[in-house]
Amino acid sequence: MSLPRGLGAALLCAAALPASAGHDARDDAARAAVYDHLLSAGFSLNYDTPRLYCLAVQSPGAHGLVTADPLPAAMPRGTYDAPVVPLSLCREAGLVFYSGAVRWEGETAQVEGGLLRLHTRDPRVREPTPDRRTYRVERHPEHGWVVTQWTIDPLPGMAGPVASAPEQAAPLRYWSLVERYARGQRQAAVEGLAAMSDGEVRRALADAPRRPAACAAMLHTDRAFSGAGGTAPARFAQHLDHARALVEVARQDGRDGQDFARRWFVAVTLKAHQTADGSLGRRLARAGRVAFPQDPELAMAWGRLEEAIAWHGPVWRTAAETPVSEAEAWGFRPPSLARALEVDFALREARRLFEAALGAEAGNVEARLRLGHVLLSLGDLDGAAGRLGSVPSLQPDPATAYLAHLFLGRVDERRARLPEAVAAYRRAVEVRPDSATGHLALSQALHRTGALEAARAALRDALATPTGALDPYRTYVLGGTPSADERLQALREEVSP
Amino acid sequence: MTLLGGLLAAAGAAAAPQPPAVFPSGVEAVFVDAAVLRQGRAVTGLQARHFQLRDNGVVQAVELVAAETLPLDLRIVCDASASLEGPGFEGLRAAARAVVARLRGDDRATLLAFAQDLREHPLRDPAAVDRALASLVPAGRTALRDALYAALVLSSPGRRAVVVALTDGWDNASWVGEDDVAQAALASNATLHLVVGTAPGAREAPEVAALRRIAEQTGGRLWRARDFAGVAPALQAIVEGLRHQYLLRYEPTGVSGPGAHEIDLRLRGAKGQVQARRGYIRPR
Repeated sequence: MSLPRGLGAALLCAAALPASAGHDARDDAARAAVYDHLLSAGFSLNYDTPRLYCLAVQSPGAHGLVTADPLPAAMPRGTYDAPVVPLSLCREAGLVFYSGAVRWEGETAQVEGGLLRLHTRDPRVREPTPDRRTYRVERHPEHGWVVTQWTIDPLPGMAGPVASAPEQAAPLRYWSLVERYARGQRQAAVEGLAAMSDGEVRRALADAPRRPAACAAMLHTDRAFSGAGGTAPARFAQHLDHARALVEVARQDGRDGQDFARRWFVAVTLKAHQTADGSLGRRLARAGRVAFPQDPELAMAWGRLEEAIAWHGPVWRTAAETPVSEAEAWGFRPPSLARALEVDFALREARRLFEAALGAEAGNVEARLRLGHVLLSLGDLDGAAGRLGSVPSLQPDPATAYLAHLFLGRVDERRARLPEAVAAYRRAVEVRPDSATGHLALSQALHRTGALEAARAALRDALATPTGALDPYRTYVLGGTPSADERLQALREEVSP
Repeated sequence: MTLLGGLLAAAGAAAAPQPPAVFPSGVEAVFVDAAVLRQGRAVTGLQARHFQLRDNGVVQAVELVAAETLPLDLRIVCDASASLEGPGFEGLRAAARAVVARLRGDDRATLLAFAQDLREHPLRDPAAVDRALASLVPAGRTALRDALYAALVLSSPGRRAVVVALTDGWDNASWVGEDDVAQAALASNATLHLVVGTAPGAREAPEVAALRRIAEQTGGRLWRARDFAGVAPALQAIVEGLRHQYLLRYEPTGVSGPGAHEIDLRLRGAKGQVQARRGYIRPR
């Protein structure tokens, strides 16, 4: 296989730099420590680059790693021979890290190298101007080869630290951050964690004992949700993986640990829902259900999320991070077979989860309402009528009663029972006269019966509802969910008073 | 299947099964707004004899009515969601002010805003335009079908009713479906125009195609704009076009009574393309 032209040019440039002083296993270990250091957070912190890729280059005098965000499943992060690296991995701009020389002074290595900037939309590499970096690598008695200091001459136009302070060994730094978090210095700890590479964190987490696990889990949770607007950007996903692993450790700590873990799964599922990241929410909820298969609160959190996914799609917030139209970013989805299957799957998942919640708590009114609505959406009108019809008799709050009447009206419309539908909508309006959708539904049903003047009157009532009045239907449609922030704050305060 | 038949079928297909819509008795006379265009320009000076109108296939005797005899009922349906924010907002304000300034005596204009809430703002004078536009609060929800339904149902009988929807075409929060909008369009006397702003490179909302068919059934059409800057000229062109339209009146004879009626309007002894309502529902 021939080398892609862009990559070839980069390699030519790399080959022109000082030759490697040696190329044995020890050199590779030192280089691997550097690459580990470069990965993920280290890169994105040093340079404000929206997409950053470190391409694999492995040839005499230069080699590197493949990483992409997100990394294609077929190309796991690792070291590759240059010819197998598909240049298509670089979709916007690429950065190749090469390492030239490894100089040894006893057991300390100075790894010299740099970054080449590739413009990979253009097959030609334009002005590959490398920066120059030197990494000091030392062998830690427990953690193997680690970077302890570095110096960088940044690329033109890029700001970045010129030199680091001598580094504490990663595990020590990591656990000192956890301690700071436990002492209540949460923001500082999260910022400190942001400055660590994922490789460093992984090494630290491999370091026994993993205590205090719950505190460390919350540190990673806060880091994961520290994107704009409290979102969890994909590039922080590994922090939730770490948090999950730590929660599993915490779960072994008796009843308190179990309770902490259960509430953590509920809170992060709600948080993912609140920030409109359905994919993330699904992943967390699924893991939570594996750990707590009978928990109704978790089933409800996941079920609500599936219902919202049916309305808006699996990822409706994080789409805003990609260059799609604003409308699509808000969750508007064009119809397609794939979308129809996606909706069907989400609704069936929601049905299963609400049924599970009802199985655990027969008096769960919200589960009954939502199950009824899901059955209506799936076309099971008898099932929907049965569930929804029992809601008003359970003395629910006005918003829930209103929604039950509204959905019952729709069931009647689907059954071509317009007088019954009108009656149901009238009951909805009686319960919540300040909510516009009830009046609108009544108008639309009256219009179908031919009562045009009455339909107009109902519409005027809809227009006269108070400005800004919260319509439970709108909240329901837009995926309203209990507050996740309060639950996360309670967990934080438990581990970090 | 005729276009009207298609529309009626579509209206019934979305939520099965539904009973047929029935309407109470009302005015016998039917008014039809007709625009006649030739090479994109309005054809003027036509007489009643130049029009041949069939109601359910039966030729009717039509008369031309001076447009001034019926007061105007203009409803501007404005998407106040974040998706239509932009630099053209001032253009919209200017266009709406110009439209309001040309209203006569009994004419009526209303801004129906939809996003967070469905709200109606009477546009009596330019200051009212400013107040109405200032009250628009961008929000991430868009209930376009709800707003169209409301505008069509609220359109006043006995007036030349025109609904102009300024939107990007996306909808994520409506209660009513397309079939309800189609029913409301048939039962209403309003001409519906859609002005759809789609940013360069963005995909047009898939619902636009269906809404376009509904607009064309009412004698209106789809106008495409790049953003709010393009919306304002379209609004002005629609209102300006009303001056050159013909208002036809007839009393249905020789046709069955209540229910859906198909209108087929053609030119006779004149050249041009006719845009007019293609059907209506005769009340019981």
